Amino acid sequence: MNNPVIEIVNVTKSYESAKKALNDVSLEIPREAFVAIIGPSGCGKTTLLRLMNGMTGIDSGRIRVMGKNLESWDKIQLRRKMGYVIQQSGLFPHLTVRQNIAFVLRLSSVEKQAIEKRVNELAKIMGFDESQLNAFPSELSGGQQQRVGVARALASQPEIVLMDEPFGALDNITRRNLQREIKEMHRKLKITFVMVTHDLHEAFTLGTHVAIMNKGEIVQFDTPENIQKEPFNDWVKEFITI
Amino acid sequence: MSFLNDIFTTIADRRDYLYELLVQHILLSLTAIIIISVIGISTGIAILHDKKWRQVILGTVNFLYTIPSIAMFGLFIPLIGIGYGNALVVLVIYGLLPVIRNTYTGLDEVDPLLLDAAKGMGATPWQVFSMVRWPLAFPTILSGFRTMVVMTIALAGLASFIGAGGLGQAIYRGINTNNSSLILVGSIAVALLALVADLGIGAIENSLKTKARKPDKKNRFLRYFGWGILALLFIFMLLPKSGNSSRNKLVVATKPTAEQYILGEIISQLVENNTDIQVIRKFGIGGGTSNIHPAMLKGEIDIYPEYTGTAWLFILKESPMKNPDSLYAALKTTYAGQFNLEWACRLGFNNTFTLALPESVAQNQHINTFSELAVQSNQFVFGAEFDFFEREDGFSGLNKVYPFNFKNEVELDINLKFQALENQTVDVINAFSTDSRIRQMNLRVLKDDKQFFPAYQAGIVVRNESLRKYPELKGLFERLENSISDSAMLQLNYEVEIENKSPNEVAANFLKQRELLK
Repeated sequence: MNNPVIEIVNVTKSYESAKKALNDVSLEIPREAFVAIIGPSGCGKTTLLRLMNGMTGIDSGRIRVMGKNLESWDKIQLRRKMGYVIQQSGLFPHLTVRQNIAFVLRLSSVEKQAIEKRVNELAKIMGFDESQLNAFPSELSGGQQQRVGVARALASQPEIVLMDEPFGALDNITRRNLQREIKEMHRKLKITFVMVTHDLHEAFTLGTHVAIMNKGEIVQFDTPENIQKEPFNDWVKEFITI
Repeated sequence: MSFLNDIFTTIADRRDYLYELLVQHILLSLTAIIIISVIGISTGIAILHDKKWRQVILGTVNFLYTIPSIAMFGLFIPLIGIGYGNALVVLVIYGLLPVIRNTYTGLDEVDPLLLDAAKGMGATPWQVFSMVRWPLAFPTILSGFRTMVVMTIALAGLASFIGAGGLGQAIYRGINTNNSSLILVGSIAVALLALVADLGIGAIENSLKTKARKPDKKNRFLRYFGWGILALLFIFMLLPKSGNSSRNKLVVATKPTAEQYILGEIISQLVENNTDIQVIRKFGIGGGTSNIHPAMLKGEIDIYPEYTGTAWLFILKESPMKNPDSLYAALKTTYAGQFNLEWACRLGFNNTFTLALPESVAQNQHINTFSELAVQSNQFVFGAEFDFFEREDGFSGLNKVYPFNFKNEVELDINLKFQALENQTVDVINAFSTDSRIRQMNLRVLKDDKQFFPAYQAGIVVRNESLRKYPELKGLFERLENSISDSAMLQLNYEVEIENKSPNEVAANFLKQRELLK
């Protein structure tokens, strides 16, 4: 685990409601890992994810991303280097699929031709045809929408992709298919994925590493096999067998 | 069908006049629309993140919106005076609510998840706004804009009430000169203008809605159609106003009556024909003297026709004076000293209260004067409007001077008076001495032989400053001295109110007859 791509050290974060969202959390995410963060709702897993691209600030502790302290990153530039997929895809309803995928590239004023080339590449990888590219999100199924969301996150060729319960709203069959697809993509692209989920099966099949959280703390962080073999405590044991 | 005919004749006869009003209307509306959009949209954006200001501003515009528009126009007269500026301010105040509210609501209702997604992908705050928040709010903002545009065009119809011109002037003039086809033409024109603007924006709105499905030909057509209409309206605004700029100008105003319109035209045409001064007509100012006089003092109006009695009793608040000549002399001195205004001439007629009865009856009974009527009054029923019985200078005062003993006294609505006379519900009524219906119904106007009613002699009031600036005016107005008798004025009113000729034409004929035109 040398040279982690994201390094979180003793981070504490509380919201105005005074409740501690994260309490002295430390986590090292290895390059090219697929980290699944899981835990009961309100455990702080989304907060933990949002720290990584500076969407949420911290009270104390230290975060390094891609070899640089978070404070010294221009947040805008940092986010453009990281993919971001949120619940229910977060596609822009006023833009076509093509325009949605091109969004990040347009943010950093990439040349028109380069944008088109990249969108076509992604379309090929994801298997979108011309009519789908020209459709609006509302004309696609939920599964297709989420695939566009993933394609959009990959558009700028990021080193890291952050995903917040990306498949939460999908039916089981679609979800399994997408999980398979994303796993294959992780294998091919050799980039780091960090995904928040509440689906145990998803966490353990997709993750090369799983972080189990409870009440603002990481209870156990290890490979799925190790966690299953040696749960850190009874709570983890119970949690992963539900 | 003759009704339709009337309308077409009206349009054909007054093409230039109506076109001018249309241009004024579009100009006023469009200027207001642009100002409203700029202020409204930026305010809507500004209050998005500021709850305290949001409550204050939305509360204020909501409140302003509930003030009746007529009252609002009146409210600003003491502050801004009459005319274009006042109308613009009122239109802007009214138009703000739908634009501010829809801008705020549209922007506020954008799904926060989408804003979060954009930010998370590395959009700058400006990119989040311009690429996500604004386009998603745009349909809501546009629908507020649409409401505002239609409302502004309709409301601009009231602008003529305070002398700002526009198509409302045709309506207003039609009402005041009893010309229903002019009223209709004005109303239809306002409605059409609003409709066209509504269609134009509606087409753009629709094209935005269907865009979310598939871009197709119909949708593209709709959008071009919409923008086309808006562009046309805009071009209108850029058209040069005819003969404007630095020429010498003189503003002639009138109160909203047919008689005043005619006098206004006589004055205006006389000036236009004999000098190179450009006349700006602000005819039919709502509220009459009470709004025109202050505007004269401010210099917004240079000339208007006034009646001696009104000036003496209403403006100077003096007690009645019997002799019309000494009244005029006193008025001239006081006006010059107190207001720096000049009574340039008396036109000759006296539009005062009088009593009238059918010519045939008057002839049979040999009645020519109030006194003669009083002797035989027990044979007649007297009709007048409610307030004539109420006022001290009305029936009760009259009765003290002339011992009337009518068979019956009937209180009537002012507009039903003449009908009642026609139906013989009443035999004698009070009337204004130059009312065209006197001629229409062939009534005899009786002589106020003991001079109970104060004189309301018509005259021309001019700002002294204007007279100094254009010395030629003085001699010009002197030529109008005593040029219109009671019966002549009655005839002119008759031509406009009953024969539906335009005041413009009637005035021109009058001036030609008197050889006052070059």
